Amino acid sequence: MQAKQKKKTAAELRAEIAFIKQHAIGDNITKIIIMLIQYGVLASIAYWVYKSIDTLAGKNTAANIDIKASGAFNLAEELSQSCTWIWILAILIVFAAVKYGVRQNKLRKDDIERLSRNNIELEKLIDDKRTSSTLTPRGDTNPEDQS
Amino acid sequence: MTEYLNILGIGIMLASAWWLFSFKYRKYRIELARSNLFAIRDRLFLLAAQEKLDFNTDAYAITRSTLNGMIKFTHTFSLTSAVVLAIRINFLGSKIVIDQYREKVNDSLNKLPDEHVRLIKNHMMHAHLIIMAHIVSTSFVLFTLTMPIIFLLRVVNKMNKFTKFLSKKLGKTTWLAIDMEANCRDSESRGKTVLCG
Repeated sequence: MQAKQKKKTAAELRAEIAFIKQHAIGDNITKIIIMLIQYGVLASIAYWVYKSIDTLAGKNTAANIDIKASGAFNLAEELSQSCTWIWILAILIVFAAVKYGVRQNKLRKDDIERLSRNNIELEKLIDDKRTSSTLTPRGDTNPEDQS
Repeated sequence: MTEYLNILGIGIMLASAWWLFSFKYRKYRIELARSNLFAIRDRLFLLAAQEKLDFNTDAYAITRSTLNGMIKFTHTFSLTSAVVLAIRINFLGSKIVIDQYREKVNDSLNKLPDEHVRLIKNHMMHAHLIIMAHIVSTSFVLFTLTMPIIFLLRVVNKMNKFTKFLSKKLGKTTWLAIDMEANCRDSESRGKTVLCG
């Protein structure tokens, strides 16, 4: 049985109020640190791109003028010479994105399974003649209905 | 021209990876942790409905409130918040409140039969493992450091043993503080006048 709440002393209540205050301050500090890290990373990437292009700009001006003058710029050719890092990064990102999609799908089906199981039990309490759509427990089409 | 394209390409890729990890993956991990915590809460409810636990005990109410707080505020659990919490416990005098909370939890458990205590403790340990997995996977540093270890442990099928070991190593005070935070947040959000449950 739930016991009656023991009366707290003034010191205990003061400690609790201090805890709640700290908790609010801690929350805000955490939010600021996370924002700084998150957007700091994005700013670093942008800065790296800017600095790299800026450094190259001085070195390559003459070469670019030559290319433009001869009208020989070919995007496909330029891309084919791209460094391997782009390909490695692109493959990793595509892999991560596909894995993310697969996991989201699994999570959705896990939730369907968990929620529908509880729902079936609760509905049966009210209506024992309850009929079913006969989808699988994870919400997929019943193999018998595939054709 | 190729160099410019390379730099822009790498910049776009890195920004995409940042977006995928910071927003999409993080949101997925929050949803996953919430779904797992909901499953624990449902299991506890079913156990009580089958009279293997008592709905009207303090221990059940505290456990449910703690799980509710964890579900409601999963988005706030992170490595940074864990570090801030550790600083608060060790240097800013939050220990008194934690001791109070410990006493309250122990009192509530002492009134229960051993089997009920075991069930509640098992479910709470499972909730702690979920929170730990959430913190590890949403921190970029921990994620990159532990990914090879986690991959290896999954291959040799020792992941459960490893997480239980880590959970014990983290210490009872840290978990108690996390539980208390969750419990307090749930109590606050329901406008309870008595702080921390």
